[in-house]
Amino acid sequence: MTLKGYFDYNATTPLSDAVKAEMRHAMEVFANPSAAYPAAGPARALLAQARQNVADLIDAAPEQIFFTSCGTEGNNWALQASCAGAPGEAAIVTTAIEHDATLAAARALGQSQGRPVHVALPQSDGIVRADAVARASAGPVAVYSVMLANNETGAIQPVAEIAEIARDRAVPLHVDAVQAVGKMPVSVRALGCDCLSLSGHKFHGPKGVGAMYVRDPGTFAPMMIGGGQERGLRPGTENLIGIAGLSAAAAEARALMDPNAARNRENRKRILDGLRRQGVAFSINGPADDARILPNTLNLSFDGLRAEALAMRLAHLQGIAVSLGSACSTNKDRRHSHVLVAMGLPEARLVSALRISFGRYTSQADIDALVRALADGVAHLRQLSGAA
Amino acid sequence: MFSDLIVDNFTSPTHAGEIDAPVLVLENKDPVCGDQIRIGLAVENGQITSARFRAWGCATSMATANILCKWLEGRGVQDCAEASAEEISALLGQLSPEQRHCQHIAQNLVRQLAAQEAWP
Repeated sequence: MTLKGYFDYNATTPLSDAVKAEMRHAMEVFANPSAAYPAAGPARALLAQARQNVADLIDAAPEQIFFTSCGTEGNNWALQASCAGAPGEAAIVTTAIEHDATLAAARALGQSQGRPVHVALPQSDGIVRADAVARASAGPVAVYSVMLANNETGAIQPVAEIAEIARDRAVPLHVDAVQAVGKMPVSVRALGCDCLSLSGHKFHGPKGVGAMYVRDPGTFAPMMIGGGQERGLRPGTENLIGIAGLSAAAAEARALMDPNAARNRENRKRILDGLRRQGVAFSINGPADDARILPNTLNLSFDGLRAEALAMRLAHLQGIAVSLGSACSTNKDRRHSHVLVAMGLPEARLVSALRISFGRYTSQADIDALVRALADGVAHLRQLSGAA
Repeated sequence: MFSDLIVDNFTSPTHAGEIDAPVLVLENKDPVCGDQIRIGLAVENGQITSARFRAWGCATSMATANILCKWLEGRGVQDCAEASAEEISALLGQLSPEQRHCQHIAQNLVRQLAAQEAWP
C-alpha cells in the first residue's frame, strides 16, 4: 500500500491489508459469542484470539483485556471506575497535556461529584515531570491519569516514575496509551499502571474499537450495567468484526514494531536534515532527546507565518495532509493547542505550529516531497508577509 | 471548507508585493487572531492604478488581500470608498464562521478610503 502525502498518522491510520482480510473473514462469523451452542464456537474463538493478541502487544494477560468502542470510552471508564469507591474529597489528578477525552471527562466528573480536579503542568519540552504530578495534590487523590505519549508533540511521559508515586500513596493509576500503543513497545508491567486505554485505529485497526487493560478486574467498577459480556465489566454484544480487525492490527504491530520504529526514526531525521539543508528556519516543539519522543511525530513551528495558511497550501498545491496546532476560530476567541499553550510557548510559535506524523506507508519519496513543499510554502508565506 | 475563490486567490496571488512610494496605504489587523493586511495604492486622477499587498495570517485573510487588491485596481477611489459593507463582504463569497473575521478586515480596509480627505 502507498499513501502519498498523508502526514496525519496520529489522527488515524489506514486499515492494513491483513486487518482488512481478518475483518472480511469475521463478516462470516455471525453467531453471538455468548450463545452456548456449538455454532457460536468460531465467534468465541475469534474473541479469545483477539484478547490474546492485544494482551501480547502490551505485555498483559488476556483476562486483563476488555474490549471497548474507542480510547475516549476507555479514558472515561477509567476515571469513573477509579472514582467509584473513592471518598468525595479525593481529587482527580491529571496533566495539562491530556487529550480532551481525559481532561473534559475529569472536569465533568469533578463537577458532578463535587470532586477537585488538579492538573499538573509540563515543562517547556512537553514532558510532565513525576514530581509535578506528585505536587499537584497534597490532599487525598482518587486517581492519577496520565498519557504515555502525547498526541501533538510525541513527548513520552515518565509513567513508570508516576506509578511509583501512585503506589506509595495507594492511588490507582490510569494510563492513556492511545497514541503510544503500536508505535512504541508498551509493557503494562513495566509501567506499573492499574488500567490503560488503547484504540485500534491508531495502529491500522478499524475505528470504533479499542481495549482497556485492567490489572485487577475483580475490583474494577463496570463501564455499564447490562448483560454479562466482558465478564460484566463492559456489557453489550461484542463488535466482532471490529475486534477481529483490532486483533490483526495488534498482532501486526507487535511483529513489525522494531522495523517500523526504525523507519520512522529515519524518516524523522530525514525531515529535519532536509529542512536544515534547504535553509528553513524552524523550532521543534517537544523533547530534544529522541529517546523521549515517539519516532513518528514531529511538531514544528515556522516563525513569520500562520500554520493554517501553510497547511492549506500543502493540501491544495501538493496534496499533503498535516495537522494544525492552532486555527482561526471566531471573532471572539483564539484557538491554540492547549498542549502547546501549557508548554508555555510564545504566541509566534503557537500560531505557526504544525504536527507532522508519519508511519508504515510513508516512503522516503513522500518525505522528500514534504520537505520540498514545506521549504517552498514557508518561503512563499514569509515573502507574502514581508518577513522573508 | 474553502471555496474555489479563496483557494485560487490564496494559492496563486496576483497582487502580492509592494508599490514604490504608494499614495495611500490601508492597514488593518484583527484584534483577536492577529491576521493583518497592508495594501499599498498608486492613485492617478482619483483612479487606483495599482494595488499590492503584504499579509500575515490564515489562508482566507491572504486570499482576502488579493481579492481586495483586484477589486480596488482600476476603480475610482471615491467609488470604492462609497461601497457598502455588504458589497465588500460579497467580494469574498460564502465564508464559514471561522473565516468571517476576514469580512471585517476587508470592510475596515475599505473604510479607510472614506476617511481620506484628499487623494491625487
